[in-house]
Amino acid sequence: MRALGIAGTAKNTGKTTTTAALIEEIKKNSLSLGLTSIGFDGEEIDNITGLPKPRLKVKKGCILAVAENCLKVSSAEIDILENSQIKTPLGKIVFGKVTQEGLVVVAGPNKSRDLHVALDKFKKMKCDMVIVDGALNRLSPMGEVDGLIIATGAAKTPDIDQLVEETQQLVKIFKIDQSEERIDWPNCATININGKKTILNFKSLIDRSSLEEIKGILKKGAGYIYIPGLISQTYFAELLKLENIKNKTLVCKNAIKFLLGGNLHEVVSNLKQVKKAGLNLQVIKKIPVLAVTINPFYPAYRYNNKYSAEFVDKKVLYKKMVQALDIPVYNVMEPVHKKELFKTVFNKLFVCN
Amino acid sequence: MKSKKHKVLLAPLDPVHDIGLKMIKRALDEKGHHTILLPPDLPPEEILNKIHENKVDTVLISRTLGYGVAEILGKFIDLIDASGLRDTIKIALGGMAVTPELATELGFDAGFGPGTEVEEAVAFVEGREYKPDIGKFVKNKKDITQRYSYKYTDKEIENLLDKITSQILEWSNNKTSPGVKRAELREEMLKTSNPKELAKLRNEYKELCDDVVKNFYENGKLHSRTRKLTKEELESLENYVAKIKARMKPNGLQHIDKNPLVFIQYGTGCPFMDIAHIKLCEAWGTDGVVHFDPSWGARTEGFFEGYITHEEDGSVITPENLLRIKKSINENVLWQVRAHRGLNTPETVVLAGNSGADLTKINIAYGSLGGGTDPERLTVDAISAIKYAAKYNMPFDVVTNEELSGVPAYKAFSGMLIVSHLALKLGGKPILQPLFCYSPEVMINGNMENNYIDFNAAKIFVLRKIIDAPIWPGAPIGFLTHTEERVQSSITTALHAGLASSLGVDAISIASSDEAFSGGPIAGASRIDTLKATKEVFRFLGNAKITPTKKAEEWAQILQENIKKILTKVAQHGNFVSALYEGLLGSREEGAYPGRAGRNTVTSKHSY
Repeated sequence: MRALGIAGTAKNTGKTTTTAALIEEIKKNSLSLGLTSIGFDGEEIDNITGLPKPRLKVKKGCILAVAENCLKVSSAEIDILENSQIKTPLGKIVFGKVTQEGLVVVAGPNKSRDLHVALDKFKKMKCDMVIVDGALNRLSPMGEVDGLIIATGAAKTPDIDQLVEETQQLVKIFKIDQSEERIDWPNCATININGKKTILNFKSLIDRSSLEEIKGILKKGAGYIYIPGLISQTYFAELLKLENIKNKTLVCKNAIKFLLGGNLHEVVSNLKQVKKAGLNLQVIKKIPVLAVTINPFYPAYRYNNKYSAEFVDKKVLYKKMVQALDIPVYNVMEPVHKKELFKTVFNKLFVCN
Repeated sequence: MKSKKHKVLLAPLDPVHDIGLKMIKRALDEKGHHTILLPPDLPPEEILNKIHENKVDTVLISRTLGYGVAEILGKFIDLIDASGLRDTIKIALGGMAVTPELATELGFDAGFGPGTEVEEAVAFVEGREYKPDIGKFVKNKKDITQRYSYKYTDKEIENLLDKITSQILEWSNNKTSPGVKRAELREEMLKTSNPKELAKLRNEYKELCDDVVKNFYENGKLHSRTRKLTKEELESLENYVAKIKARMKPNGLQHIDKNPLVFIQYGTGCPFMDIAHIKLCEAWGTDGVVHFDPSWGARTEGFFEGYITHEEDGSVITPENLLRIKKSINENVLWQVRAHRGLNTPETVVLAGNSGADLTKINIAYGSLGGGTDPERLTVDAISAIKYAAKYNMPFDVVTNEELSGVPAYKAFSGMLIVSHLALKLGGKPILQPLFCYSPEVMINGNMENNYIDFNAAKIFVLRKIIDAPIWPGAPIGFLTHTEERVQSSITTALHAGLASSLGVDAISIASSDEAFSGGPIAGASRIDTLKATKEVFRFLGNAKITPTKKAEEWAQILQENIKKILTKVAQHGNFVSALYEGLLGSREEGAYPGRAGRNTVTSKHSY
């Protein structure tokens, strides 16, 4: 089984449209599909902007992991396969099989650990592929998937050049190398210099005391610093300046832990300093970005707390994005692109692995 | 077992709004939990550090939703998730526009929007399922007559009423009417399950009906403006009620126990629409609902049968319609079926009693002076109706709507007191229903030139000076003070409700904010207007009271003296029915016209 995450860079960047396009193609290709979300998707009207949103249409046979309350408002017929103990504000997550196609509201497990449990269940239920729909610009639970599609668009910023640059940077961060070490990584920060391992008293590098702890132990020589949690870019910048940082490898769980530690600009600027500092940056799990989907739509905010639908030039957006990225780019509103997107995802998830 | 104490971080992500969190903090502190309230507007990274440093197990975030705020909140949850802290803490979001759906989307464990009780947040912290305060939210059906002794303080009035009612009972002895006879037959029809017996009874029944009803029993022909509900409509109605019942969380209107029960009136003509109105009002807190039947129903001898719909001004009373409506009403909501004014008064009480109604409405004086029924006929019928009300244990209000035609309050009250005393003699439980209205009398005499309070208060004061009995001003309160403006109508209804509550009455009937001027069906939103407005006034006043000026006492005094004068005249006259014809309880000059419907239909019991 392969889990595919659809992560948006902002609200209304086309996550649900991308998911809907894939559902259609997966069915055509006779793969058994599992579907869930790390938030709440498939509502008729966007929860925040009040603009209409595509609702997800699911086909017969699809297995869903959704909150109990979603079943009440979905028009698809769903047989409950298993109840789980995963809680959400909309009730506990249940696993169900679609027996008659229809529209669904998908609110799934909204934290990493719960998604992990849900993906295990999907595996046992023999799904070939599980789509994890994103929520807003939330990324953290996506650390659990095997590949990502980044859905971006004018809703992030209607400035095409800026959007292209930001997307390029984002894709780059996910390219941080995967560690070759094959060990059982602990659940705490750890330093190993010249073969001497020290377990540290924190998980995330998010405060000065943790940085001081590293500083106290850091010696000359080769080795690694492992941080399983979040890496604040403020302290990471200071870490790069530490006296004995040279020849060390900083290992983090995945690129998301690094990415969330600050704004994109800080992350990019710090990454530029890594080589100079003599540090090597690695992740335990590389989450490949399989494709980028683009959406020219953006909700323009009006003074009276209302939004209106606007669009940037889709051709210009597409062209510039293709030029800037070395991975496939699709506008999923185009029928041809839908097929292409599926082919790309399928090849990268199943054939290349 | 000692309950676990939690360490809770309360963080207002909002620049200013942290009142909710402060209220929750106080409740948590009182329960011995360790709380840390952060100053407003700290950056998410700093809050993350505080969670980490203080090793809390629960985090409560407050934030009013606005442009771009969802992104900030989503990012915040992402930070917590990525740091690994998400697995060790519970985190909830509260604020304006927050819903469980939004909380799910943003990755929180719970979302608390406007109207959240502090207890709900405390339950979240303690990992308990939130159970709304039972006493506060579950309605209990109240018998508003229960705490009254019906003892007279004014013995002079009691003696007069005794004399008048004895005269009435003596006069009525041996008299009967088609209405009385139909009620007896209906009771037997409801009891029997033998089809032959039923057919025989129905045959007898139809002979006592007007042609239009007789035509129904003989040829199945309905009244011209009605039709039967179809099978599909009935099925759809059943589904609708089941769905609404499953979803509904009944509300309460009262802020303190002393606030009166609130009744609304329905009668769209269509049972389906009536039920929709009932369910809507139940959801917004009504304590009781009053069934209005069409005016032709009151002037026609006999009732139809079946599920009948589409009359214009009230819902047709049939055994089936009443049962269907009863089935749809929340079990804790009171149901009144009016029987007060027409040719079917005793039978209405029989049907109401058999359909499970809690209350009915009977008044001879209004029914015959303002309701169009012959006084003689209605007196005979009302005595029978009162006996049925006593039998089915249904208290009933004695309305004084003749005031709206121009009859002065003291005369209307005299009529009300006579009927109430008659009821007490026959084992009934009457409820006094003075009008809280801007009546022709006060317009002419200027009693409300300065305020709407004093004269209404005087009405309550005088009744209290006379008898210890339940009082239910109506119907609806503020009548004739309403205009076509919804805000004005809601305010005037609510203020009259506040006055009624302040005077310690037991119940009130309220109109919708478009009732007086809708010129057609009432809109659901207008019902909510006055229910909400009434609730707000109850909340506003609490135990505080509206103080009438000294005029109220003066007028109460005058009313009492005038009531005595009228009752003395009626007693001296020696015949209540004749007193009605002659205008002692409201004259033609005042706008009261003895009704003609059912004239000359009273007969000796032996003639049947």
